[in-house]
Amino acid sequence: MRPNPPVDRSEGKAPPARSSFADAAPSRWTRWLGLRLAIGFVAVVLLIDVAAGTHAVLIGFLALAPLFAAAVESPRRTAVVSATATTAAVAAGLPSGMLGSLDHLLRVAVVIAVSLMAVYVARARTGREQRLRRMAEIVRTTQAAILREPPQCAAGVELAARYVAAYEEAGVGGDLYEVVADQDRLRIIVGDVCGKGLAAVRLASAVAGAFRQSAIIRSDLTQVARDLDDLVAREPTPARAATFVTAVLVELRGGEIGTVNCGHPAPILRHCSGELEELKVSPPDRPLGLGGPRTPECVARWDVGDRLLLLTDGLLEARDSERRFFPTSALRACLAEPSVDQCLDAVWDAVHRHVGGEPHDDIALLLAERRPVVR
Amino acid sequence: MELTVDTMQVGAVTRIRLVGEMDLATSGLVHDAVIAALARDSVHDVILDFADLTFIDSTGMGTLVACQRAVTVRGGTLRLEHLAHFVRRQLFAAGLLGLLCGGEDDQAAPSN
Repeated sequence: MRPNPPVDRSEGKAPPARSSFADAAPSRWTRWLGLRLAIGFVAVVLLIDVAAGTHAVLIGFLALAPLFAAAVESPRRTAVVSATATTAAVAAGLPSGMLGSLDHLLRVAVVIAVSLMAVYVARARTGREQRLRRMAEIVRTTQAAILREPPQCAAGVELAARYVAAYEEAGVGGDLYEVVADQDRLRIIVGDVCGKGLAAVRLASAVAGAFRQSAIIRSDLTQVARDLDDLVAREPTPARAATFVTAVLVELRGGEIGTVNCGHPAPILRHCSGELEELKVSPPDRPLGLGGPRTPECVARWDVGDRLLLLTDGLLEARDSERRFFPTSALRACLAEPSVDQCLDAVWDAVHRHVGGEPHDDIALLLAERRPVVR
Repeated sequence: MELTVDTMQVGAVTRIRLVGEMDLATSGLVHDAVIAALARDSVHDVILDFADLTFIDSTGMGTLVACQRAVTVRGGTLRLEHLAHFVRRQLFAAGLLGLLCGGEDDQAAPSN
Protein backbone atom coordinates (compact mmCIF):
# COMPACT_ATOMS: atom_id res chain seq x y z
CA MET A 1 0.00 0.00 0.00
CA ARG A 2 1.07 3.52 -0.69
CA PRO A 3 -1.45 5.66 1.12
CA ASN A 4 -1.37 9.18 -0.22
CA PRO A 5 2.29 9.05 -1.15
CA PRO A 6 2.47 12.55 -2.61
CA VAL A 7 1.55 13.94 0.75
CA ASP A 8 4.44 12.21 2.49
CA ARG A 9 6.78 13.71 0.00
CA SER A 10 5.55 17.22 0.62
CA GLU A 11 6.64 17.00 4.25
CA GLY A 12 10.33 16.78 3.42
CA LYS A 13 11.52 13.82 5.48
CA ALA A 14 9.30 10.77 5.71
CA PRO A 15 6.89 11.07 8.62
CA PRO A 16 4.30 8.35 9.45
CA ALA A 17 1.83 8.21 6.62
CA ARG A 18 -1.57 9.75 7.27
CA SER A 19 -1.47 11.60 10.53
CA SER A 20 1.10 14.00 9.14
CA PHE A 21 -1.49 15.05 6.59
CA ALA A 22 -4.11 15.86 9.20
CA ASP A 23 -2.04 18.18 11.30
CA ALA A 24 0.93 19.53 9.45
CA ALA A 25 3.76 19.82 11.98
CA PRO A 26 4.15 23.44 13.08
CA SER A 27 7.56 24.91 12.44
CA ARG A 28 9.91 25.88 15.27
CA TRP A 29 8.84 29.50 14.91
CA THR A 30 5.13 29.03 15.32
CA ARG A 31 5.16 26.27 17.93
CA TRP A 32 5.22 28.40 21.08
CA LEU A 33 4.16 31.59 19.39
CA GLY A 34 0.85 32.04 21.26
CA LEU A 35 2.49 31.52 24.64
CA ARG A 36 5.38 33.84 23.84
CA LEU A 37 3.14 36.59 22.55
CA ALA A 38 0.84 36.37 25.59
CA ILE A 39 3.70 36.53 28.08
CA GLY A 40 5.35 39.29 26.07
CA PHE A 41 2.10 41.23 26.30
CA VAL A 42 2.04 40.79 30.10
CA ALA A 43 5.59 42.13 30.29
CA VAL A 44 4.74 45.15 28.13
CA VAL A 45 1.68 46.05 30.23
CA LEU A 46 3.72 45.72 33.40
CA LEU A 47 6.54 47.89 32.02
CA ILE A 48 4.19 50.63 30.89
CA ASP A 49 2.43 50.56 34.24
CA VAL A 50 5.67 50.97 36.15
CA ALA A 51 7.27 53.43 33.73
CA ALA A 52 4.23 55.68 33.49
CA GLY A 53 3.55 55.41 37.20
CA THR A 54 -0.15 54.76 36.63
CA HIS A 55 -0.49 53.08 40.04
CA ALA A 56 -1.67 49.70 38.81
CA VAL A 57 -4.56 51.20 36.86
CA LEU A 58 -3.49 49.28 33.77
CA ILE A 59 -3.51 45.80 35.30
CA GLY A 60 -7.02 45.13 34.02
CA PHE A 61 -5.42 44.81 30.59
CA LEU A 62 -3.42 41.82 31.85
CA ALA A 63 -6.59 39.74 31.53
CA LEU A 64 -6.27 40.01 27.75
CA ALA A 65 -3.21 37.74 27.75
CA PRO A 66 -4.98 34.57 29.03
CA LEU A 67 -7.91 35.31 26.70
CA PHE A 68 -5.58 35.47 23.73
CA ALA A 69 -3.85 32.25 24.84
CA ALA A 70 -7.23 30.52 25.13
CA ALA A 71 -7.91 31.27 21.49
CA VAL A 72 -4.72 29.76 20.12
CA GLU A 73 -2.99 27.62 22.76
CA SER A 74 -3.56 24.37 24.69
CA PRO A 75 -5.27 24.48 28.12
CA ARG A 76 -1.97 23.81 29.89
CA ARG A 77 -0.17 26.70 28.21
CA THR A 78 -3.18 28.91 28.78
CA ALA A 79 -2.87 28.06 32.48
CA VAL A 80 0.78 29.11 32.39
CA VAL A 81 -0.21 32.46 30.86
CA SER A 82 -3.01 32.82 33.41
CA ALA A 83 -0.59 32.24 36.30
CA THR A 84 1.85 34.71 34.80
CA ALA A 85 -0.85 37.35 34.38
CA THR A 86 -2.08 36.85 37.95
CA THR A 87 1.44 37.07 39.38
CA ALA A 88 2.07 40.19 37.35
CA ALA A 89 -1.18 41.70 38.58
CA VAL A 90 -0.16 41.14 42.21
CA ALA A 91 3.38 42.37 41.58
CA ALA A 92 2.11 45.51 39.89
CA GLY A 93 0.91 46.67 43.28
CA LEU A 94 4.44 46.70 44.71
CA PRO A 95 6.19 49.72 43.15
CA SER A 96 3.26 52.07 43.72
CA GLY A 97 2.59 50.78 47.21
CA MET A 98 -0.98 49.90 46.27
CA LEU A 99 -0.50 46.26 47.23
CA GLY A 100 -3.36 45.03 49.38
CA SER A 101 -5.58 48.07 48.91
CA LEU A 102 -9.21 47.36 48.01
CA ASP A 103 -8.70 48.94 44.61
CA HIS A 104 -5.77 46.64 43.88
CA LEU A 105 -7.47 43.52 45.22
CA LEU A 106 -10.54 44.09 43.03
CA ARG A 107 -8.42 44.46 39.94
CA VAL A 108 -6.46 41.33 40.77
CA ALA A 109 -9.76 39.50 41.29
CA VAL A 110 -10.86 40.47 37.77
CA VAL A 111 -7.61 39.15 36.30
CA ILE A 112 -7.99 35.87 38.24
CA ALA A 113 -11.62 35.40 37.18
CA VAL A 114 -10.86 36.01 33.51
CA SER A 115 -7.81 33.72 33.79
CA LEU A 116 -9.88 30.84 35.11
CA MET A 117 -12.47 31.38 32.41
CA ALA A 118 -9.72 31.41 29.77
CA VAL A 119 -8.48 27.98 30.85
CA TYR A 120 -12.00 26.62 30.59
CA VAL A 121 -12.44 28.14 27.11
CA ALA A 122 -9.14 26.64 25.96
CA ARG A 123 -10.26 23.21 27.16
CA ALA A 124 -13.61 23.44 25.39
CA ARG A 125 -11.96 24.71 22.22
CA THR A 126 -9.30 22.02 21.97
CA GLY A 127 -11.86 19.31 22.74
CA ARG A 128 -14.03 20.40 19.87
CA GLU A 129 -11.08 20.70 17.51
CA GLN A 130 -10.00 17.18 18.40
CA ARG A 131 -13.44 15.75 17.67
CA LEU A 132 -13.47 17.48 14.28
CA ARG A 133 -10.02 16.22 13.42
CA ARG A 134 -10.94 12.68 14.44
CA MET A 135 -14.04 12.82 12.23
CA ALA A 136 -12.06 14.04 9.23
CA GLU A 137 -9.50 11.33 9.93
CA ILE A 138 -12.17 8.60 10.01
CA VAL A 139 -13.57 9.72 6.68
CA ARG A 140 -10.08 9.86 5.18
CA THR A 141 -9.07 6.44 6.47
CA THR A 142 -12.30 4.87 5.25
CA GLN A 143 -11.74 6.45 1.88
CA ALA A 144 -8.20 5.10 1.68
CA ALA A 145 -9.41 1.63 2.71
CA ILE A 146 -12.01 1.30 -0.03
CA LEU A 147 -9.77 2.34 -2.90
CA ARG A 148 -7.54 -0.53 -3.85
CA GLU A 149 -4.17 0.07 -5.40
CA PRO A 150 -4.40 -0.78 -9.08
CA PRO A 151 -2.04 -3.47 -10.40
CA GLN A 152 1.27 -1.90 -11.46
CA CYS A 153 1.12 -3.57 -14.81
CA ALA A 154 -1.73 -5.43 -16.50
CA ALA A 155 -2.78 -6.25 -20.06
CA GLY A 156 0.26 -4.44 -21.46
CA VAL A 157 -0.51 -1.25 -19.57
CA GLU A 158 1.45 0.31 -16.73
CA LEU A 159 -0.69 1.93 -14.06
CA ALA A 160 -0.42 4.30 -11.13
CA ALA A 161 -3.10 6.00 -9.05
CA ARG A 162 -3.27 8.71 -6.42
CA TYR A 163 -5.96 9.80 -4.11
CA VAL A 164 -5.60 13.10 -2.34
CA ALA A 165 -8.26 13.74 0.27
CA ALA A 166 -9.39 17.30 0.86
CA TYR A 167 -7.69 18.95 3.80
CA GLU A 168 -10.85 20.27 5.36
CA GLU A 169 -13.39 17.84 6.73
CA ALA A 170 -16.20 19.46 4.76
CA GLY A 171 -14.42 18.71 1.51
CA VAL A 172 -13.81 14.99 1.96
CA GLY A 173 -16.02 13.24 -0.50
CA GLY A 174 -16.43 10.24 -2.68
CA ASP A 175 -13.97 10.25 -5.52
CA LEU A 176 -13.31 6.73 -6.69
CA TYR A 177 -11.31 4.63 -9.11
CA GLU A 178 -11.21 0.95 -9.81
CA VAL A 179 -9.32 -1.21 -12.29
CA VAL A 180 -10.43 -4.63 -13.49
CA ALA A 181 -7.94 -6.60 -15.59
CA ASP A 182 -9.11 -9.46 -17.76
CA GLN A 183 -6.41 -11.10 -19.93
CA ASP A 184 -5.78 -8.62 -22.75
CA ARG A 185 -8.42 -6.15 -21.68
CA LEU A 186 -8.39 -3.56 -18.94
CA ARG A 187 -11.46 -1.80 -17.65
CA ILE A 188 -11.22 1.33 -15.53
CA ILE A 189 -13.70 3.60 -13.83
CA VAL A 190 -12.92 7.02 -12.39
CA GLY A 191 -15.84 8.77 -10.76
CA ASP A 192 -17.00 11.39 -8.33
CA VAL A 193 -19.98 11.01 -6.00
CA CYS A 194 -21.99 14.22 -5.75
CA GLY A 195 -21.95 15.12 -2.07
CA LYS A 196 -19.50 14.98 0.82
CA GLY A 197 -18.77 13.09 4.00
CA LEU A 198 -19.23 9.48 5.03
CA ALA A 199 -22.40 8.97 2.96
CA ALA A 200 -20.46 9.87 -0.18
CA VAL A 201 -17.59 7.57 0.79
CA ARG A 202 -20.04 4.73 1.35
CA LEU A 203 -21.59 5.19 -2.08
CA ALA A 204 -18.16 5.42 -3.69
CA SER A 205 -17.33 2.07 -2.12
CA ALA A 206 -20.59 0.52 -3.40
CA VAL A 207 -19.96 1.82 -6.93
CA ALA A 208 -16.39 0.51 -6.97
CA GLY A 209 -17.60 -2.89 -5.77
CA ALA A 210 -20.40 -3.07 -8.31
CA PHE A 211 -17.97 -2.09 -11.07
CA ARG A 212 -15.61 -4.95 -10.14
CA GLN A 213 -18.48 -7.38 -10.49
CA SER A 214 -20.14 -5.92 -13.56
CA ALA A 215 -16.92 -5.27 -15.49
CA ILE A 216 -16.12 -8.97 -15.42
CA ILE A 217 -19.56 -10.26 -16.39
CA ARG A 218 -20.71 -7.75 -19.00
CA SER A 219 -19.22 -7.77 -22.47
CA ASP A 220 -20.56 -4.31 -23.32
CA LEU A 221 -19.19 -1.30 -21.44
CA THR A 222 -22.50 0.55 -21.83
CA GLN A 223 -24.19 -2.29 -20.00
CA VAL A 224 -21.74 -1.85 -17.12
CA ALA A 225 -22.82 1.79 -16.92
CA ARG A 226 -26.48 0.73 -16.83
CA ASP A 227 -25.77 -1.69 -13.97
CA LEU A 228 -24.16 1.15 -12.00
CA ASP A 229 -27.11 3.39 -12.93
CA ASP A 230 -29.46 0.93 -11.26
CA LEU A 231 -27.28 0.68 -8.19
CA VAL A 232 -26.99 4.44 -7.65
CA ALA A 233 -30.68 5.04 -8.42
CA ARG A 234 -31.64 2.73 -5.55
CA GLU A 235 -29.68 4.85 -3.06
CA PRO A 236 -31.78 6.94 -0.68
CA THR A 237 -31.81 10.65 -1.52
CA PRO A 238 -30.53 13.05 1.14
CA ALA A 239 -32.78 15.96 2.11
CA ARG A 240 -31.12 18.88 0.35
CA ALA A 241 -29.25 17.18 -2.45
CA ALA A 242 -29.52 14.55 -5.14
CA THR A 243 -27.59 11.32 -5.35
CA PHE A 244 -25.60 10.80 -8.51
CA VAL A 245 -22.13 9.87 -9.60
CA THR A 246 -20.29 11.38 -12.52
CA ALA A 247 -17.95 8.84 -14.04
CA VAL A 248 -16.02 7.86 -17.10
CA LEU A 249 -15.72 4.17 -17.93
CA VAL A 250 -12.71 3.19 -19.99
CA GLU A 251 -11.79 -0.04 -21.72
CA LEU A 252 -8.19 -0.47 -22.91
CA ARG A 253 -7.60 -3.24 -25.43
CA GLY A 254 -4.34 -3.01 -27.32
CA GLY A 255 -4.35 0.22 -29.30
CA GLU A 256 -7.99 1.00 -28.68
CA ILE A 257 -9.50 3.15 -25.94
CA GLY A 258 -13.24 2.69 -25.54
CA THR A 259 -15.04 5.19 -23.31
CA VAL A 260 -18.53 5.67 -21.92
CA ASN A 261 -19.00 9.20 -20.62
CA CYS A 262 -21.41 9.66 -17.72
CA GLY A 263 -20.99 13.40 -17.21
CA HIS A 264 -17.36 13.31 -16.12
CA PRO A 265 -14.33 15.37 -17.21
CA ALA A 266 -12.73 13.75 -20.26
CA PRO A 267 -9.41 11.93 -19.74
CA ILE A 268 -6.28 13.61 -21.07
CA LEU A 269 -4.14 11.79 -23.62
CA ARG A 270 -0.44 12.54 -23.78
CA HIS A 271 1.22 11.36 -26.97
CA CYS A 272 4.80 10.22 -26.70
CA SER A 273 5.66 13.27 -28.83
CA GLY A 274 4.77 15.34 -25.75
CA GLU A 275 1.55 16.70 -27.21
CA LEU A 276 -1.51 16.82 -24.93
CA GLU A 277 -5.08 16.41 -26.05
CA GLU A 278 -8.40 15.86 -24.41
CA LEU A 279 -9.45 12.32 -25.27
CA LYS A 280 -12.27 12.24 -27.78
CA VAL A 281 -15.33 11.05 -25.88
CA SER A 282 -19.00 11.01 -26.79
CA PRO A 283 -21.22 13.93 -25.68
CA PRO A 284 -21.80 13.41 -21.96
CA ASP A 285 -24.81 11.37 -20.89
CA ARG A 286 -26.38 11.99 -17.51
CA PRO A 287 -24.40 10.98 -14.42
CA LEU A 288 -24.95 7.50 -13.01
CA GLY A 289 -28.15 7.27 -11.02
CA LEU A 290 -30.23 9.78 -13.00
CA GLY A 291 -31.36 7.39 -15.72
CA GLY A 292 -31.60 8.57 -19.31
CA PRO A 293 -30.15 7.00 -22.44
CA ARG A 294 -26.59 5.71 -22.62
CA THR A 295 -24.60 6.49 -25.73
CA PRO A 296 -22.67 3.51 -27.12
CA GLU A 297 -18.98 3.36 -26.39
CA CYS A 298 -16.77 5.86 -28.23
CA VAL A 299 -13.47 4.51 -29.53
CA ALA A 300 -10.16 6.37 -29.80
CA ARG A 301 -6.64 5.10 -30.42
CA TRP A 302 -3.32 5.34 -28.62
CA ASP A 303 0.17 4.24 -29.46
CA VAL A 304 2.87 2.51 -27.48
CA GLY A 305 4.37 5.03 -25.04
CA ASP A 306 1.24 7.21 -24.95
CA ARG A 307 -0.17 8.05 -21.54
CA LEU A 308 -3.77 8.45 -20.50
CA LEU A 309 -4.62 10.54 -17.43
CA LEU A 310 -8.01 9.96 -15.81
CA LEU A 311 -8.96 12.63 -13.30
CA THR A 312 -11.74 14.16 -11.23
CA ASP A 313 -12.95 17.75 -11.17
CA GLY A 314 -10.96 18.40 -7.98
CA LEU A 315 -7.91 18.79 -10.22
CA LEU A 316 -9.49 21.07 -12.82
CA GLU A 317 -11.22 23.17 -10.16
CA ALA A 318 -8.23 23.57 -7.85
CA ARG A 319 -7.82 27.33 -7.46
CA ASP A 320 -5.04 29.64 -6.45
CA SER A 321 -5.39 32.64 -4.14
CA GLU A 322 -6.78 34.72 -7.00
CA ARG A 323 -9.37 32.00 -7.68
CA ARG A 324 -7.85 30.98 -11.00
CA PHE A 325 -8.27 27.35 -11.99
CA PHE A 326 -5.43 24.89 -12.36
CA PRO A 327 -4.25 25.22 -15.96
CA THR A 328 -4.21 21.92 -17.86
CA SER A 329 -1.20 23.20 -19.78
CA ALA A 330 0.76 22.70 -16.55
CA LEU A 331 0.27 18.96 -17.02
CA ARG A 332 2.52 18.96 -20.08
CA ALA A 333 5.72 18.97 -18.04
CA CYS A 334 4.29 16.70 -15.32
CA LEU A 335 3.36 13.93 -17.73
CA ALA A 336 6.81 13.94 -19.32
CA GLU A 337 8.47 12.37 -16.27
CA PRO A 338 10.16 8.98 -16.82
CA SER A 339 7.68 6.77 -14.93
CA VAL A 340 3.94 6.88 -14.35
CA ASP A 341 4.53 7.15 -10.61
CA GLN A 342 6.83 10.13 -10.99
CA CYS A 343 4.30 11.76 -13.32
CA LEU A 344 1.60 11.64 -10.68
CA ASP A 345 3.98 12.97 -8.05
CA ALA A 346 4.76 15.84 -10.38
CA VAL A 347 1.05 16.52 -10.94
CA TRP A 348 0.52 16.59 -7.19
CA ASP A 349 3.42 19.00 -6.71
CA ALA A 350 2.05 21.25 -9.45
CA VAL A 351 -1.42 21.33 -7.86
CA HIS A 352 0.11 22.00 -4.46
CA ARG A 353 2.11 24.89 -5.86
CA HIS A 354 -0.89 26.29 -7.69
CA VAL A 355 -3.21 26.18 -4.69
CA GLY A 356 -0.45 27.32 -2.34
CA GLY A 357 -1.37 24.66 0.24
CA GLU A 358 -3.79 21.79 0.54
CA PRO A 359 -6.59 21.45 -2.02
CA HIS A 360 -10.17 22.07 -0.85
CA ASP A 361 -11.69 19.19 -2.78
CA ASP A 362 -10.71 15.56 -3.25
CA ILE A 363 -8.59 14.69 -6.25
CA ALA A 364 -8.39 11.20 -7.74
CA LEU A 365 -5.85 10.55 -10.49
CA LEU A 366 -5.12 7.43 -12.46
CA LEU A 367 -2.43 7.28 -15.10
CA ALA A 368 -2.06 4.50 -17.69
CA GLU A 369 0.81 4.03 -20.14
CA ARG A 370 0.71 1.64 -23.07
CA ARG A 371 3.78 -0.62 -22.98
CA PRO A 372 5.35 -2.36 -25.95
CA VAL A 373 4.20 -5.96 -26.36
CA VAL A 374 6.83 -8.45 -25.15
CA ARG A 375 6.86 -11.67 -27.11
CA MET B 1 -16.55 33.97 -3.07
CA GLU B 2 -20.05 34.72 -1.93
CA LEU B 3 -23.46 34.06 -3.39
CA THR B 4 -26.30 36.57 -3.23
CA VAL B 5 -29.79 35.17 -3.60
CA ASP B 6 -32.46 37.65 -4.63
CA THR B 7 -36.07 36.41 -4.70
CA MET B 8 -38.78 38.24 -6.60
CA GLN B 9 -42.35 37.06 -7.04
CA VAL B 10 -44.44 37.85 -10.12
CA GLY B 11 -47.87 36.23 -9.96
CA ALA B 12 -47.48 32.48 -9.66
CA VAL B 13 -43.86 32.59 -10.74
CA THR B 14 -40.91 33.12 -8.44
CA ARG B 15 -37.76 34.46 -9.99
CA ILE B 16 -34.59 33.87 -8.02
CA ARG B 17 -31.54 35.79 -9.14
CA LEU B 18 -28.17 34.35 -8.21
CA VAL B 19 -25.06 36.49 -8.10
CA GLY B 20 -21.73 34.82 -7.42
CA GLU B 21 -20.70 31.18 -7.26
CA MET B 22 -22.69 28.10 -6.33
CA ASP B 23 -20.54 25.65 -4.39
CA LEU B 24 -20.39 23.54 -1.25
CA ALA B 25 -20.62 26.61 0.95
CA THR B 26 -23.40 28.46 -0.85
CA SER B 27 -25.68 25.85 -2.46
CA GLY B 28 -27.80 25.54 0.67
CA LEU B 29 -28.95 29.15 0.19
CA VAL B 30 -30.38 28.33 -3.23
CA HIS B 31 -32.17 25.26 -1.93
CA ASP B 32 -33.62 27.26 0.96
CA ALA B 33 -34.82 29.98 -1.40
CA VAL B 34 -36.55 27.47 -3.68
CA ILE B 35 -38.20 25.69 -0.76
CA ALA B 36 -39.31 29.03 0.69
CA ALA B 37 -40.84 29.94 -2.68
CA LEU B 38 -42.71 26.64 -2.81
CA ALA B 39 -44.06 27.23 0.68
CA ARG B 40 -46.18 30.09 -0.70
CA ASP B 41 -49.51 28.71 -1.82
CA SER B 42 -49.69 30.45 -5.16
CA VAL B 43 -46.26 29.51 -6.46
CA HIS B 44 -45.82 26.73 -8.98
CA ASP B 45 -43.03 27.78 -11.27
CA VAL B 46 -39.56 28.80 -10.21
CA ILE B 47 -37.07 30.54 -12.46
CA LEU B 48 -33.41 30.63 -11.50
CA ASP B 49 -31.75 33.59 -13.16
CA PHE B 50 -28.16 32.56 -13.83
CA ALA B 51 -27.07 35.75 -15.60
CA ASP B 52 -24.60 36.61 -12.84
CA LEU B 53 -23.67 33.10 -11.76
CA THR B 54 -20.03 32.61 -12.62
CA PHE B 55 -19.27 29.09 -11.39
CA ILE B 56 -21.02 25.98 -10.16
CA ASP B 57 -19.37 22.92 -8.61
CA SER B 58 -20.66 19.36 -8.27
CA THR B 59 -22.43 20.09 -4.98
CA GLY B 60 -24.19 22.97 -6.70
CA MET B 61 -25.31 20.69 -9.50
CA GLY B 62 -26.63 18.18 -6.97
CA THR B 63 -28.60 20.99 -5.36
CA LEU B 64 -30.09 22.00 -8.72
CA VAL B 65 -31.28 18.44 -9.36
CA ALA B 66 -32.77 18.34 -5.84
CA CYS B 67 -34.49 21.71 -6.40
CA GLN B 68 -35.92 20.51 -9.69
CA ARG B 69 -37.36 17.44 -7.97
CA ALA B 70 -38.90 19.53 -5.20
CA VAL B 71 -40.57 21.86 -7.73
CA THR B 72 -41.76 19.01 -9.97
CA VAL B 73 -43.32 17.16 -7.05
CA ARG B 74 -45.42 20.30 -6.45
CA GLY B 75 -46.59 20.20 -10.05
CA GLY B 76 -44.46 23.15 -11.12
CA THR B 77 -41.43 23.57 -13.33
CA LEU B 78 -37.93 24.81 -12.60
CA ARG B 79 -36.35 26.86 -15.38
CA LEU B 80 -32.80 28.10 -15.64
CA GLU B 81 -32.42 31.36 -17.52
CA HIS B 82 -29.54 33.39 -18.94
CA LEU B 83 -26.90 30.76 -18.39
CA ALA B 84 -23.43 32.22 -18.77
CA HIS B 85 -21.28 30.38 -21.27
CA PHE B 86 -18.97 28.87 -18.66
CA VAL B 87 -21.78 27.57 -16.47
CA ARG B 88 -23.56 26.17 -19.52
CA ARG B 89 -20.40 24.29 -20.45
CA GLN B 90 -20.07 22.97 -16.91
CA LEU B 91 -23.65 21.66 -16.89
CA PHE B 92 -23.17 20.19 -20.35
CA ALA B 93 -19.97 18.40 -19.33
CA ALA B 94 -21.76 16.91 -16.34
CA GLY B 95 -24.49 15.57 -18.64
CA LEU B 96 -27.08 17.66 -16.80
CA LEU B 97 -27.90 20.37 -19.34
CA GLY B 98 -30.69 18.33 -20.91
CA LEU B 99 -32.16 17.34 -17.58
CA LEU B 100 -32.15 20.87 -16.17
CA CYS B 101 -32.92 22.86 -19.31
CA GLY B 102 -35.85 20.88 -20.61
CA GLY B 103 -34.03 18.63 -23.04
CA GLU B 104 -33.93 21.10 -25.94
CA ASP B 105 -30.15 20.95 -26.11
CA ASP B 106 -29.53 17.53 -24.69
CA GLN B 107 -26.99 16.55 -27.29
CA ALA B 108 -25.86 19.92 -28.56
CA ALA B 109 -22.44 20.90 -27.32
CA PRO B 110 -22.15 24.62 -26.58
CA SER B 111 -19.84 26.24 -29.09
CA ASN B 112 -16.50 27.45 -27.88
